[in-house]
Amino acid sequence: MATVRPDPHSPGTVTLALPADPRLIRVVRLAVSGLAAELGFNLDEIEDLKLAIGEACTDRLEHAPGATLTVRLSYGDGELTAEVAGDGPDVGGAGEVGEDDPSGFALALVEALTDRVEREVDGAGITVLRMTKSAAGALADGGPGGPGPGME
Amino acid sequence: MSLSVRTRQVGSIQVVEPEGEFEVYTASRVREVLDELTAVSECRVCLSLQNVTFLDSKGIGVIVEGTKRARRSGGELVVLCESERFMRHFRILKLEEYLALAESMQDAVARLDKGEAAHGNGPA
Repeated sequence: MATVRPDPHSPGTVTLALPADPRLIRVVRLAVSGLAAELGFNLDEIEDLKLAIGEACTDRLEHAPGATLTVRLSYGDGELTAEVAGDGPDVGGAGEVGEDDPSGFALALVEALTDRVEREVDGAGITVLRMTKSAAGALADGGPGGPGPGME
Repeated sequence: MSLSVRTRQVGSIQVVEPEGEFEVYTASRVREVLDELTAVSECRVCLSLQNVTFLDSKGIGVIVEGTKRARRSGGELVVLCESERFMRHFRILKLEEYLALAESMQDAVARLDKGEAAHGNGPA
């Protein structure tokens, strides 16, 4: 049975736009885990991505409480990058990542579980959290399941 | 519902068993239960993470808060956790010393019994 899988070596993007509701962060995690599995990330990496991207969504819902949350997942070169943004400027102005995370737990987890984290404020004053993680093995070895049948 | 919380009593220990995803949206359900149990003087609470499938920073915040409250009441909250993933998260957050972590119910009971002895309130 043929399965259409994203080619982990050519870039692509999956974008989710969802109501800014904490109940739906679970839906983001499900989508992240589905895409990361297709891209060949291993189980530990998938769990790391789910947690890190979920934390970014929570941060945006808390600090930029608008109507919509956008999660842009782009992949290529064995990496997955998530950009998470609300649809309005931060309440109380834009601060540093984790400024309103007094325990620092969310940021510490994101930093430990991904390779790079950046925060950017665009021209409209909207904060975008960007995080990137590369896959340890599978992508470098030729993608999900390795070379498929019929590759001779 | 992606999380349910059961509470049962084992001897003098209150065992709290969340089942499902313990995270941003559901964490308040566990907090409500812990708030009640840890307000009791010399409380002995075991929070079991054995049936928790996902734990985020909000869930961890509730665990830390519950631990603080239990100790303020002169009691203890032991976290029963066999998950290597959650343990890794506790280590990242440098909580492995602060939290009373147990790897089995037997271990949890032993730690809570020891806590009771330390408070000079051993079984008569």
